[in-house]
Amino acid sequence: MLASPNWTHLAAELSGEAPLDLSAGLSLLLYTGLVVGLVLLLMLLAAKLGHKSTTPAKREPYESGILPSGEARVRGPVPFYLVAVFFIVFDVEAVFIVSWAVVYDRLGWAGFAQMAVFIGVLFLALGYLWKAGALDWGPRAGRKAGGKLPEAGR
Amino acid sequence: MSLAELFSLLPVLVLAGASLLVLMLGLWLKHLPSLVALGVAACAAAGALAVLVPPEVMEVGGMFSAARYARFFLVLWAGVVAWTLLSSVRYAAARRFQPGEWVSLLLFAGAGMALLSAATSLVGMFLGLEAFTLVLYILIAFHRGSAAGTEAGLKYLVLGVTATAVLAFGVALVYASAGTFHLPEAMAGVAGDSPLRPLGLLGWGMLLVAIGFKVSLVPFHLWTPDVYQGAPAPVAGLLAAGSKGAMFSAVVGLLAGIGLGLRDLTPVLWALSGLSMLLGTLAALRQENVKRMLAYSSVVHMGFVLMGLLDAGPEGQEAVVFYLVFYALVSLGAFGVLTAFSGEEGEPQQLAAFRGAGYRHPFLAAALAVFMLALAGVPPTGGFMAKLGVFAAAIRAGHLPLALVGVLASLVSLVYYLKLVIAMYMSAEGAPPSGSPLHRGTRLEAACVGVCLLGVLLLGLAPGALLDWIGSLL
Amino acid sequence: MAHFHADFPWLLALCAFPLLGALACLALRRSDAACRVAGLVVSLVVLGVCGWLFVLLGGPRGTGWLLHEDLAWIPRLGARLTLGLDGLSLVLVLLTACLVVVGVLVSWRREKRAVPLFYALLLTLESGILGVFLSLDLLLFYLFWEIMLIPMFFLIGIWGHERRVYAAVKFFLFTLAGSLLMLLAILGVYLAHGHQTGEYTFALAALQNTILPAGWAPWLYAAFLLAFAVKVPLVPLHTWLPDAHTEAPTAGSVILAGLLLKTGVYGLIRFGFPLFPGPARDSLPWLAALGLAGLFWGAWVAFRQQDAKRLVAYSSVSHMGLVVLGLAVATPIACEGSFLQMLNHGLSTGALFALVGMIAERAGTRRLDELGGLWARAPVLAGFFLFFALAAMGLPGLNNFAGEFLVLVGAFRAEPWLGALGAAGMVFAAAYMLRLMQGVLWGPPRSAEPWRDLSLREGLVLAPLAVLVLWLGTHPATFQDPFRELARVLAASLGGAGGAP
Repeated sequence: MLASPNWTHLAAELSGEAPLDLSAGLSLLLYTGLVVGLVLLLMLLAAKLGHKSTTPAKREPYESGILPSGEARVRGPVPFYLVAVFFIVFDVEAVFIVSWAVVYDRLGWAGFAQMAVFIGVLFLALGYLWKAGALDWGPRAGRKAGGKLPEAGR
Repeated sequence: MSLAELFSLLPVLVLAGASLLVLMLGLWLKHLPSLVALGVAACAAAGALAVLVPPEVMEVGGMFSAARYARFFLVLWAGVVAWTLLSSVRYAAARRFQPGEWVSLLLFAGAGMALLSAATSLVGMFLGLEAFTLVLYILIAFHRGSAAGTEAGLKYLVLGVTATAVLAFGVALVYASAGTFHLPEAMAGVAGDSPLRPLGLLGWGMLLVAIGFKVSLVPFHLWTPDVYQGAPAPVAGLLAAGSKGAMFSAVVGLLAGIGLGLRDLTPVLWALSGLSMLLGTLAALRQENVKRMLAYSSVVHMGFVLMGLLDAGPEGQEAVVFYLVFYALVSLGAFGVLTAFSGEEGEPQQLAAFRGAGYRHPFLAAALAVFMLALAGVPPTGGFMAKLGVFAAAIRAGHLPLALVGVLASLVSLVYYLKLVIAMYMSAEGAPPSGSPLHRGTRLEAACVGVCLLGVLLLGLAPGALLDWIGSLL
Repeated sequence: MAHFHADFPWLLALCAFPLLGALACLALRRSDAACRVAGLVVSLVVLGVCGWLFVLLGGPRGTGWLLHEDLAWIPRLGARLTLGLDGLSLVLVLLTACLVVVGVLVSWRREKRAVPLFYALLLTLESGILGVFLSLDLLLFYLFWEIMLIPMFFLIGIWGHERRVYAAVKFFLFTLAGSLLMLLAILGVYLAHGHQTGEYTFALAALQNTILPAGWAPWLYAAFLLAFAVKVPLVPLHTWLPDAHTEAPTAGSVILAGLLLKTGVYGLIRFGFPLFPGPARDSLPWLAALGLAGLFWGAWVAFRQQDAKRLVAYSSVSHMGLVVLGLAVATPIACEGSFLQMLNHGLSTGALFALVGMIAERAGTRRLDELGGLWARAPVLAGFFLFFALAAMGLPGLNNFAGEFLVLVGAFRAEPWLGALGAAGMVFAAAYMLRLMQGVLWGPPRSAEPWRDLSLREGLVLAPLAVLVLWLGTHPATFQDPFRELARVLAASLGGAGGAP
């Protein structure tokens, strides 16, 4: 596949360099094969030759000798997720704004207007979240929404 | 982006702006009917602007067209959204949908579909597609009390995101082969003797996979029945009428640009179309759930549309656009009847729930029966004229075997469409419908269904005007 | 045609008027009585118009159109509202109008469920049948062809007997299977013609002159033939018929047997033969064989039936076999006989189905071994029954005799052995009809309860039919004249062996 003339031509065009040296690829392939083969061999040998004994204590998740208590799953408060999601949303917006800021002088007023609209819409979204109560923290939010306390984490 | 360009995009901006406005307004105003009225007014304004105010430039930013074709679909999708808003007032109120979000999301879906239909570049296509797919992820799971809805939303999300990833990869490959996103030229890499042809074809294949997901062609249809079943009935209607139609309206542009390269893709399109018609039909035969049946039926219909696309000439495109308009009307109508039949507790979905409906709900049941016959393609409904067009396209393009497959699918599909008609009109006497009784439907819902009924019959009896209109677009 | 507004689209109005009546029935759905009256009035008006047309345009006619209308419909596809009336369609349209009135009257108080829907469907059906007999545009024809199907499906499925849903679906699927292939064939001719001349049109007159690509014609003709053969029905494709006829309500059976079967033959004559003259000529021996097979097979199965309605249904297969035989021998006399026989069979079988319905209503059964003694209990009804059964048997002086005689004479002239076989088939017909009469009329009554004799409404149905049957038997020329010339032309175009008499 790699040897197809179109592909080497393509690779050259995309990277702007001379065609790839195929021997480099071959040695990489060989190396990968050796690594994978060695790991597989070791695992196989260990499984075949090793001594196996299972006791209940061995099946515990922790090997420190302390029996686990309670569940592994911890319920976190929902607002954490909300904050995480908002962060991602606004963080991505920041990427756009920064990339505009780098070239604001070249984009001129048209660029400014576009960014102003963009930021305006962002503020609208923020206002919406605020008013909808998504930014309210803790029990107050629950009381506001339905009068029932949300079940917080332990 | 110049002011002239913005002005050309004005109808879409009206839809999107109204969506924002309704969203903010919904924080204070919790009265669903008035927000719906606002939404419908926005749709009407967008439609009127699209028809009455000629655009200043024909192409915006090298991404979206403002030509007659795009405007036609904008009017159609604005109408679809307005129709969905009106027909689901009681449905949404009964399920305590948050009014502002409901109306706003639907409007935004309309804007997204209009953008997709207007796309003249792969990026524009991607943007439009994502704009309304994102909205649909939310809308499908909008009914928070419904476990099936949540499941459907999750399934659509996972598969939809996969499809999006494939689409993005495909777009990138096509770009690599042609060096442009702009549509007629972007497809040049596929045609003829371009050195990057394999890359272009691979990209095209990925585009096809993604498109297949969105319009649910076999073998990418697996999400369809579950999503239709779980989604609220009005949303399922929008999914069938709008999302698939918008996708196909963009595909018409894609295939138009491909020129001679279509010959290489023909076997793939042929297989996709034939498989969709056959397997969709076979799967639909076994369904006892009306929504699942309609889901598989949509698979079959998308196969028919694809058959029409095999003829790349203007006649084939005309047939496809006509088919899309018909399919939008009929699926809105069918899901509109389901919406009207839905009570507070749930939607009637099992065939048994419709037993004897023909006598208890004469108008709605008669309309549903007509929609079923229309889906089966029986004259004098629009379904017949639509199928006539795609059959003619297939024969013209020299695909008689595919047309025969279509005939077979049409014939067998009659069985499952008739199942519903039989349940409504011919079930054993005295057999009561199972489950909760059907809702009588409000006057507004009946009027909405009536509009679709009239449209479906008009398309069958006097399609001349619409055909002429479509002919002037291409 | 002096006092005749030639500008008014009479034929289109004729097709559309029953549809308006159907809408009126739906609008009047609060009152069953109003719907019945509306149904009757509309069907009578149609009958009146058809009768008037017959009086005006009947008599010996050439081959031209008596009335011809051409209005714009879908310019982009080249489909037009082209309707034409010639001698053959004139007679068939008259038959349609008659039998729909019969259908309305026989179900007057019988069908109690969803009365408005019943009459609306009946009138829609009338529209479809009239349209099939009148349209000259292939797309329009196909439209009407399918419009016939839907109301019939509902009539059988809603108001039928025990296995109605099965029968209705079977009927729908059989007919649609044929007609979908015909649709592809129509598209084939349409595209071929458009490709040649650059003018895309569905008009029969234009498509007749299409020179099809080599090898296409037989296949396209086969698709047309399949669609029509299912409707006729020709023998291997007839299995939907007994089920549909038996399970349908009386009005449905009357119209199915009297009219829908004729549309198959009519389609063959109007579209199948003229569009593909070459393959049509080649198919004649096969058609003759299938017609004869139908004649004998239908008669034999009818003879073995226990159910009176099923017996009459199979007798239709037999009679239509004779009609097809008449076309297939392609002599002018035989074709004329076939045309006449279409009319005859419509009247006598329609009447027989109506009578079986009336008897079953009284007896609560249609089984021949449970019926009997009608003569003693309801002499007037029995008299009518005897009359129509004898007519169906082909008694000289009654209608079927004239048509059968012509077909047989024509067949003798073409191929004596064909005529001989056909004549033998007539004997079979006598056998099953005698069995029907014996089972229904004579023998001891099976129960003591008294039966109502013929009511006024039933008399109003049967008496005019009886008059028509007598008229056709004694003076068939009234109905023969309009299509005599057409039969000659058809036979000539099919290259009949016998030549002109």
